[in-house]
Amino acid sequence: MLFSSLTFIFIFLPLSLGLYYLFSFHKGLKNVILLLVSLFFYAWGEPKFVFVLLASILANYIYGLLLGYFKEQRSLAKGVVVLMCVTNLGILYVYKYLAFALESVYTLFGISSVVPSIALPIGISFFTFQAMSYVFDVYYDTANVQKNPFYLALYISFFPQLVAGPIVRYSTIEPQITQRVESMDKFGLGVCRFVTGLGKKVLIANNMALIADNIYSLNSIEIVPVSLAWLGAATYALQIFFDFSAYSDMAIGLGLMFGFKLNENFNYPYVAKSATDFWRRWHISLSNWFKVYLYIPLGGSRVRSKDIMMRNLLIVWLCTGIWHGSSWVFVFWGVWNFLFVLIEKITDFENLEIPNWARHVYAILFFTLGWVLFRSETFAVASRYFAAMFWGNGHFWSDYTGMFLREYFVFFLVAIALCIPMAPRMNRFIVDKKRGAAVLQAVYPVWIVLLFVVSVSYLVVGSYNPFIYFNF
Amino acid sequence: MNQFFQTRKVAATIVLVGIIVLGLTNMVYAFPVLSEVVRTAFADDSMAMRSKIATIEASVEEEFFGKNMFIEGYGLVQSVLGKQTIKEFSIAKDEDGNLHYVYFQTAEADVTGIGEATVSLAEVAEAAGAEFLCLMPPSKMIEGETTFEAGVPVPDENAATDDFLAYLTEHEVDHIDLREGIAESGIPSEDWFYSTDHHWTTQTAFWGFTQLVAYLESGYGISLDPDGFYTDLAHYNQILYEDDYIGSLGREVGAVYGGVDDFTLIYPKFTTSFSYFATNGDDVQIDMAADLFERSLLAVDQLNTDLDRMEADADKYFAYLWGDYGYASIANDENENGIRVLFIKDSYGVPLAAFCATTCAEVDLIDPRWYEGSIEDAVAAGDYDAVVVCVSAPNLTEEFFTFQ
Repeated sequence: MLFSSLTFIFIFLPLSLGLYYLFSFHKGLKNVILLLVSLFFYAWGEPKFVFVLLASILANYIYGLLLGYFKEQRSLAKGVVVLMCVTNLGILYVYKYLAFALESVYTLFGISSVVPSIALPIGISFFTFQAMSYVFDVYYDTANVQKNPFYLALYISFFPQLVAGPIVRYSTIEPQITQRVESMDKFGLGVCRFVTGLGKKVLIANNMALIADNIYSLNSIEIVPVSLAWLGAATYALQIFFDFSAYSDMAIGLGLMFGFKLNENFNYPYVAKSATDFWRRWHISLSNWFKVYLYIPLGGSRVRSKDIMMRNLLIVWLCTGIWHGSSWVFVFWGVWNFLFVLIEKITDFENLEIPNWARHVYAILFFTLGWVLFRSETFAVASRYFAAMFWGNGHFWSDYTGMFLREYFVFFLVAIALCIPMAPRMNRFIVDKKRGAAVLQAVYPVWIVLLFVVSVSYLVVGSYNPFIYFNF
Repeated sequence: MNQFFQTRKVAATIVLVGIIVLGLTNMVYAFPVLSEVVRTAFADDSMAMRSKIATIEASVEEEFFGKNMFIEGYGLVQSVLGKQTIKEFSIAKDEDGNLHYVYFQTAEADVTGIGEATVSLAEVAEAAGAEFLCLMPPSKMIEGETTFEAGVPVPDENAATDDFLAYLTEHEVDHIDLREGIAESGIPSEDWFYSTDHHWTTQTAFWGFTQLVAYLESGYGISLDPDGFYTDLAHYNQILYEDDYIGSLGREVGAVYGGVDDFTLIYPKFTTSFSYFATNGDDVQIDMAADLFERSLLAVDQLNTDLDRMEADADKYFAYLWGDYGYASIANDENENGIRVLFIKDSYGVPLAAFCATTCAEVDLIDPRWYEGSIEDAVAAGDYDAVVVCVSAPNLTEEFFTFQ
């Protein structure tokens, strides 16, 4: 079930909130309700996969108990962690990578055999990493063993972040499961954050998707002119940012409605001044996960030689690439990121004397070209698109470019404005009670209600509503 | 800080009240339909669970309370933004403000397949002793007249039509191109088509009927209207429904964006007696005993001005012959010795065939989208005097040329 669907907004959400607050007198019951609605939410997508989720919960619950049992015996505890990784990554491998692996082997050895089609359980990459986070946190002593399987189940399956993150570390959520406090302030913030995310998703991401998808489709027929290719790349960059960050906004907002505080997942990545800076701001929860549970255990940057540091970086970026999808294009996309981050590390790029505007241009080119790769199903599609971007068609202008810009100029302006950190500055402005703050305060509810009504109108009409990160 | 949270609480309260009120209303409003959908979906063992859920979600969206109000809101936003293409580039406004279905045409339409099918059907008709004719209705994309802003993804319907008709000419299949001569029809060009619908107006359809009759008379010596009585509009009542018609395009984008059309209902002043039968398969859908044109060939309920114009059941164009059916048959009791005509048609043929029925003994209609039998068999065994293929330019696709 998409957050940006009428079924979710007008049926699932009010019923869930109603049930939750109906039992607000009892902490345990509240969590049971939340767990049940979360499982129902997951089952709504594909009921049979709820068993994969439950299996993952049960396995990691047992691994947690085993770790508690072997707490003093580090070698056995290590064995449990290894077993846990094998189990979780094994499940992930079967559902997400097996078909890809077989296809690669068949291609390599010229075997003509049919690759089985394996349906991907929604959000498996997200909940697997969440579940692993629990066992890792117990292993590293940053969290206690969870004796109550329902609480662990709630952490892994909590519906706001179940299918598309943020990937919340167990140590962040653990105290909130039993000690969170709901409040009107939190609830108000949550609803507004949800509506903001809904608007970003429905009005910006979906419209950008329309343009990008059409341009990619046109390019698959005939290489498009330069202006159209760059417009397609730019709109895809905006689509993926607003699609994913909007989902995170909605998840954080929903979390607040139920009294949870989830971590931020984006920090205006498109104002980054380098590839490294970009990755500090983009999908923060995934970057943190890899940093805490992979990069640092490998030795991180504090290693005896640059070779090992490079190896560590390469491993992390290959994993990041393949996490996003089971294809060689994603592996290459991981390498693309690795190369930029590595070069920046080697050259101490962030401390070089380069004008800010040039840093921004460099960063924009880095992620825009990277997204072209990310968006392409195959290397052939990617190379065809790069060809279009670099004069493959032999023409610069297309009437389609003008039409897209003319028809969507308001959406482009708003999207670009929302890529820069205006909202935090406005919030600061209001909190500091600067001159004019009262007007902004008064207008705010009107704006939120209007945004909600317009977004719902788009949904009722049945507008294009794809969601990129559901594929992961 | 307190005020910061205060405004968010106010906004949240309004939104939440909206969600609860609309949510509850929807649950009550959609409950009968939704419960039926759920019951049917879960009773169907052949349906995958995922499909069942998708069906339920689709039903929630379809039955959404106040849907038309939200469509109008959506249309208002598009108007304010000055958009010329909406609904995923599927609908565009031309420079005169008329709505059109559009799409990104990625290749020239290949009409060879449908051309071959038509030639082959013409041979079947000839073998059965029936005259065969392709009637090409005028295109809403009028060459030289309909213009769009640069870059609007308009498919070149006229090129596809030209290719199709050229193919027929090459293979000696007779046809009338109603794109020609419409300028001399006497109908103002702004009235040729509805602004909010993809169909020709009833006035244009009537003109098309007169052209067809004239062609059959002059080309084949078939006597349909020797006195020019039935093809004279003066012998028909015309009821104007001013600003009371929203076509299928308009219903998708709302009246605020797409506007509202006038609709002219045309029906005979003279005495008529038609019986009518229409079906989409085994179940008989419409079965009208012999009666006046306006009683048997018009779904008068759809003309009710109290109906919500945004609802499909208020579509006045489809009041004619009660809309599209896989198979329909009109018997004219006032002209039992007249000719028998079969129309293989899309929705352009609906008012055309209704008007034509005044000059014939029997008019049958086959809509290839829903007709379950063999069209070739129907032509071969139907003992028709004439077979007319009437498919409009956007439908020159294999979906409408299912015959071989």
